Amino acid sequence: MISDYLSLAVKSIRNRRLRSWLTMVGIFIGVAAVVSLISLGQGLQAAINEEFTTFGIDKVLIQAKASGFGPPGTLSAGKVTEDDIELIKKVSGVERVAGRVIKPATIIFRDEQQARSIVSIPSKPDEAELILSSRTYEILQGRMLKPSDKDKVVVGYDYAYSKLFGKPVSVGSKLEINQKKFEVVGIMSRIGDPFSDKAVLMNQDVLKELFDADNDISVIVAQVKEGEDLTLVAEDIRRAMRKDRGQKEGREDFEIQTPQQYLESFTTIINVVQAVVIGIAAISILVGGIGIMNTMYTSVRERTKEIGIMKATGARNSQVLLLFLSESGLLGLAGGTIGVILGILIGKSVERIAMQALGSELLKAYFPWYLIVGALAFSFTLGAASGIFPALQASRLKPVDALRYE
Amino acid sequence: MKRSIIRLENVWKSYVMGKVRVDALRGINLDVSLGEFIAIRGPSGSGKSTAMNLIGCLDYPTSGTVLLDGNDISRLRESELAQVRGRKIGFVFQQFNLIPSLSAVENVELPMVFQNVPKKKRIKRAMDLLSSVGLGERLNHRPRELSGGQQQRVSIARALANDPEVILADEPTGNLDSATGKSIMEMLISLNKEGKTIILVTHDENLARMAGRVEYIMDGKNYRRLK
Ligand SMILES: Nc1ncnc2c1ncn2[C@@H]1O[C@H](COP(=O)(O)OP(=O)(O)OP(=O)(O)O)[C@@H](O)[C@H]1O
Ligand SMILES: [Mg+2]
Repeated sequence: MISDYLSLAVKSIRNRRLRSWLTMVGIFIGVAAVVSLISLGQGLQAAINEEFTTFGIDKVLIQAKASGFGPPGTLSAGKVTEDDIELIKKVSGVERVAGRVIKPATIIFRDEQQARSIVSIPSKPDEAELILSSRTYEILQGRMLKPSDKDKVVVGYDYAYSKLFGKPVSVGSKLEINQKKFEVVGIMSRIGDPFSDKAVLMNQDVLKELFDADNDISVIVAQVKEGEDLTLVAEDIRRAMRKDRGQKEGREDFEIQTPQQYLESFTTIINVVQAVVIGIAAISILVGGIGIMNTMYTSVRERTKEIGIMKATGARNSQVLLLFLSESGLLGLAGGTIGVILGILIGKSVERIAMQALGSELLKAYFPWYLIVGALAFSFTLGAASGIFPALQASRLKPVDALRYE
Repeated sequence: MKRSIIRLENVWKSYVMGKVRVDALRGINLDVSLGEFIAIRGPSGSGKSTAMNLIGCLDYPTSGTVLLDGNDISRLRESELAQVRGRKIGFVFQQFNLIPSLSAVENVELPMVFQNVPKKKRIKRAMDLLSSVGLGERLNHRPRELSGGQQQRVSIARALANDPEVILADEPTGNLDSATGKSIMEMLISLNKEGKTIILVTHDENLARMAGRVEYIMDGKNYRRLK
C-alpha cells in the first residue's frame, strides 16, 4: 500500500519544512530552466518553420558570393547580371525567375540625412508578382507601386512608426534619394526583420537609372516547377552558371541558397543554444540531486531512533526502504512541480517581453504535454534515485542499535 | 501445564566494541507461560534490557536458544523476525518512543501499516484503543502536546495495535511520577487479566510485587534471592 508510505513521507517532509524547501531549490531552478528553454526553443523553431512556409519552400536564391558580412548586394566578390536570369530561365525545372537590385543610398527627409537600402521591385509584371509573393509584402497605408510609377516609392514600417527620422514619414511625404525627389505612396506592414522594415521599395528601372546600374543584379529568385526536386534543380542551375562562367567546381564566385539550408542553419543555432543551457541546467539538477541525497542522509541520521521504533513495531527492511524512497521521490517531485510552474511563468514572460520589444510573435512559448509530464517524471525519478543510498542505510540499521541511538 | 510462550535456554549475548568484549548475558534461562505476568528486577547494567531485546526479536543471541511460541528465532531471517515482532510482540518503552511528527492516532496506526491492515480498519482500531486507554479526546494531538502519562498510554495503545500475545514493558514507569506510574501499572494488570502475557522490567519493588512472579538478574545470569 504505497499510498500509506507516501502519506507518511508527506508528514515527515512537512515536519522539516525549511530544510525541505531549501532542498528543493536546486531541483526547481534546473527544471525551470529546462522547461522555459525548451518551450521557447520549440516556439522559435515553429516560428522559423512558419516564416519559411510564407517565403515559400519552392524558391532558391542566387547571388554573388559574399566576401564579408552584410545585407545581400553589398560587399560581394563576383557579380550576377541580367544575363544570368536569362540563363537560369532555360534550366529545366525552373518555372519563373526574377532579379532584384539592392543599393545603399542616402535619403534626406526634412533636412535629415540617413544611409539606407533601396530595394527594387522588378519592372516586368510576372517577375514583380514572383517577388511580391515571396515575402509578406502587405501594404498598411496607401498602395503598392505600379509598374508605371516613376518618382514614387513605398517605405518600410519603421519609417512611419519607429522614428527612423525625427519626424514620422507618411503617405504623401517627399524623400530625396541620391539628389532626386520621390513621393511616398505606401507604407508596408511590419515584417519583423530589421532589414525589411527599414527598406525603401522602388521600381527596378527607376532604381537602375538612378544608380547607373545597367546590368547588375543583387539577388536572383528562381521558382521551381511544382513536383520538381528543389535541390536537384538548384544543382542544375549551379552547373549551368559554372559552365557559362568557365569556373571549376568549388571555386564559384556565386552562391545558391535553398530554404532547407536556412532552416538547417537556424535549427543548428537553436540546438547549440539549447544544448548549452540544458548543460547548465543539468549541472544545477545534479547539484539538486546531491542536495536531496545530503538531506536524506541527515534525515536518516536524525531519525535513527524513529527507524528503530518502526522496526520494533514490525517494519521490515523493505518497508523502511520504501518509506525513505517515497520521501526523497516526493521531495524531487515537489521541486519539479514548482520548477515546471516557474518554467511556464518564465517562458510566458519572455514571450511577452519579446512581443513588446520586437513587436513580432516570433518567440512564442510552447508547452507540449510531454515536456511537462517528462519534467515531473524526471524529477520524481531523480529524487528517488538520490535517496537510494540513504534509504538503504536506513533500512539496514540494526533495530537494537537504532533504538539506543540518542 | 500452560503453554510456554517464551523460553530462553542458556542464552549468551556479547557485544564486541573494538578490543573490548562485553558479555551482557551469560547463560540466562527463562520460561514464560502464556498469560503470565512476570517482573524482572536487577541492578543497572545487569542485562535486563538485553534480555528484553532478545525476547522481543530485536536481536539474535550470541549462543543458546530463544524460543518464541516454540520457534527458534535464530533460524528466522530478518524480514521474518520483523513479521513475528510486528504480530506477536508489543513494546512499551521507558522513553515512550512515539514518533514526533505523527498524531496519537497515526502512532497507533503505524504497526498496522506495516502489517498492511486496510486504512479504514486501522483508523477504527486505533481510535478504539485510544479510547480504551482514556485518550478518546486526544486523538489528533502530537506527542509533544501530551503529558508523559498520556504519551505512555498512547504507546500502550500502539503496543496493542496488532493484538499481540506478549507485551514487553521495559521500565514503563521510569519517567513518570508514582501516581501516574501506578495507573500505567494498573492498565498492564488489567491487560494481563484479559489474557495478555506481560513481561515487565522495573526497579520498583512495590510494582514488581504486583506481578505474578519476579525474576532476578545479576551480571547477566539468573539470581535466586534468599527468602
Ligand atoms: N548495543 C550494545 N553495545 C555494547 N554494549 C551494550 C549494548 N547493549 C548493552 N550493552 C552492555 O551490556 C550490559 C547490559 O546492558 P543492559 O542495557 O541490558 O542493562 P540493563 O539491565 O537494562 O540496565 P538498566 O537497568 O540501566 O537499564 C551493559 O554493560 C551495557 O553497557
Ligand atoms: Mg535497561
